[in-house]
Amino acid sequence: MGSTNSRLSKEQLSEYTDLTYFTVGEINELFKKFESLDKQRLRENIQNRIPGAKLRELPEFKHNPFLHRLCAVFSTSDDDDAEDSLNFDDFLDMMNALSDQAPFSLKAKYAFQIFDCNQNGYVDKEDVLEIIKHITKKRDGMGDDGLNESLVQAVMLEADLDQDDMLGPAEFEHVLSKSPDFMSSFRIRL
Amino acid sequence: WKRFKEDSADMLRHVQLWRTSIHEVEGRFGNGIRSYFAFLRWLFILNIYIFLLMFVFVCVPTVAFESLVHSGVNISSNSLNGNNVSAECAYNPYDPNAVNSFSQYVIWFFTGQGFMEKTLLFYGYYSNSATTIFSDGFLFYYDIPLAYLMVAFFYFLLTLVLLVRRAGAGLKESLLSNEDRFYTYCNKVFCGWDFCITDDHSAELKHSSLKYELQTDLEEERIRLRQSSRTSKEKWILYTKRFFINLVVVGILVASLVAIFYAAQYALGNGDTFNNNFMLDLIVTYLTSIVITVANFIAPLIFGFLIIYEDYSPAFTIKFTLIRTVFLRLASVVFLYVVVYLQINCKIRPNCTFCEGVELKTYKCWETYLGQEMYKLTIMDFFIVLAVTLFVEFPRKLIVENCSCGLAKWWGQQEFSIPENVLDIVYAQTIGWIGAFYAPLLPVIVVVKFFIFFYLKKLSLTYNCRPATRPYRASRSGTFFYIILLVGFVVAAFPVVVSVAILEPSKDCGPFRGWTTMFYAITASIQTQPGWLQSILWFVGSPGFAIIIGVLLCLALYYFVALRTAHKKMISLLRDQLTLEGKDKQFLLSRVTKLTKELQD
Repeated sequence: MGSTNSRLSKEQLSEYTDLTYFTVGEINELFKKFESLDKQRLRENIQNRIPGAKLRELPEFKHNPFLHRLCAVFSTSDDDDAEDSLNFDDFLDMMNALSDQAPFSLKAKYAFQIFDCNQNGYVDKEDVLEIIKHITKKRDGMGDDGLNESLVQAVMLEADLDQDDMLGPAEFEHVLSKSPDFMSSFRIRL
Repeated sequence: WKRFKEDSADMLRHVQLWRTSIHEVEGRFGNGIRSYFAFLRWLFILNIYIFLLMFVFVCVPTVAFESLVHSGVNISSNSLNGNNVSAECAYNPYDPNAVNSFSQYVIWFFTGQGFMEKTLLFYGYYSNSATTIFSDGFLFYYDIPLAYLMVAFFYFLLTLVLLVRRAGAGLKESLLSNEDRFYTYCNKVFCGWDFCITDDHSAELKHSSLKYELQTDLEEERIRLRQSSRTSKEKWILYTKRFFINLVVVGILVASLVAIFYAAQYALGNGDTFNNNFMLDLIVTYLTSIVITVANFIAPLIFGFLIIYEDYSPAFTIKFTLIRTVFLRLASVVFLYVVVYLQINCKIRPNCTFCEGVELKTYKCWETYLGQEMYKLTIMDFFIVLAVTLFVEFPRKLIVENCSCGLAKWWGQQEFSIPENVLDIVYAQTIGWIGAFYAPLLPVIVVVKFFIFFYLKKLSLTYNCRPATRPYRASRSGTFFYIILLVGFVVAAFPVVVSVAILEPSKDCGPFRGWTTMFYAITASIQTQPGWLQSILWFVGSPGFAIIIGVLLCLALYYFVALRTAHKKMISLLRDQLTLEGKDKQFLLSRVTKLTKELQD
């Protein structure tokens, strides 16, 4: 709980506590975690970026199949070479959206961006197939093209209200609001 | 406060017995097999409760009072009725002074006769005395027959309550999940992955279990489509096939029951003649058990083979095979009970040697005989399962792995067949329930048996079996297991209740000797109570009271049925509203997109 060895200044801390759902202690903990990935770089400048792939060293993200999507969505980097690098602000943003206290609308908004793998603004059939491959951790998804096709079809049937073979943000949010597991699975506990 | 409740529930789940093993099984083999192991664990704990009840209230006092008699405590045990039996009819199964060969002792151990009959294990050992202990002005009165009956009643009640609660909860869950099949796929695909997973093992388990669940859902969908698209002609052919197969099944059932009848008759007729051939003696006494086990072994194989031609969905296939095999197994146990009773009760048979009214000269203690039969069935069942696992499944795996001949390919690797295994344990439990009344220490044997089963099955599963090719939904099957167990419970409770209320206990053995029925223990003790208590209890036992309770229950039932119809109507109304809302949203969305397009142009 103590903030004795925090390298964040008081104003930064108060700014962070205002903008996020975290307390001072939690923000310090998060900073320690972030720092542990690349101490050297952060000593130079606190706003330096760490490549997304490095986050896999943290136990919370080690097994997450959507890590690269998370990094891509939350990264504010302008640099084309380091598209999914995060600085501490981005990291805090991400953990904020995934925290226990984040409301449904915030999570749904980010979930839509995360699941939009091809980044065309909609969650379409390709994206659903990508998601299936990620959650089963198999390159061929369900093992059989026919099964993949039927599964994607089934999902679209349930969720696609205007029947344009794509899920817009409103449809996606509607689906998530009807899913009982969303709030409990789309979070990371510290 | 909420956090505390969550944490404590979490912790309770952590200390559950065998939690890690079951979790592993779930990940590798899916939910169905996991429900089997959870079921086994539930039964294991139930048997521990039953054993504790019997042990603490009946066995321990018996032993304690006997030993206290020899110490200096002021204790007196009086037989509750003074009937004396003539010498030729006295019950004397074992003469400790006679010299017997070692093989004789071994036979006796496995059949429960001889020296085993005079132990705590069987009904015949318990005395029908009430004990009073005086100690410094403190009077302790303990009535063993009453205790025996009350404990039996209590463990049946406990089992019933726990079982109904479990089956009911499962039924509620399955009904709910059935109604809400709206967004199952989306829920699994978008919200299936739990972001909190940090452990390697859990991650692996989650990946494979998600895959299994999705496969199951798709498979069921596919089959439903196929079933609804059958032509008329196909349906007719299918129905005739099913009719003939059902005839065959009934034929097999009848044949097994007839075989059991003849075996039981033969065993009763010759069971008491001990010649010197060790093996022959053992086989004759175990004859009924052998026949029952063989029938129970072959019939399910045939059923499983036949049901493929009946073309049901996977969930229904399993249920139907289960129902058929359950019927066979439970019918054989009840049939055995009936046959033994008919043989021993002299009032029915034309000429048999009477011995003070009821028993055959050779079977002076029919309750112990029944207890022995249950004991033998339990042991036989255990050895058969052990033998099958060790001598059939392991070699099968070795053959299939190492030899690539045609036979191996045709036989294929072992698949864990859930219905049969569930039935094994339901059967073992039914025998345990009946046996617990006639052999009070049988629950201990059942506890040990289930314990060994758990690890044996788990071992066999991990080393011998491959994951099921036809996955099926587990939660409904889980509830189904408990319903089958409920059926087994009724089948077990019925004979015991009949014997307590109607049948005459043996004259010279057990805690109810000399009375007209076992229930008399309760009436006798009621008569010693003060007047007001007596009149209350008599009223509770009278038909008037039963009628009042019956009417009240009918009213309550009617109320709940009415509530249920109302709820069902509500659900369909709400569902219609939901689809309407979806259409509204559709309309609004198309308007919004149209407007934005217009604005952009």
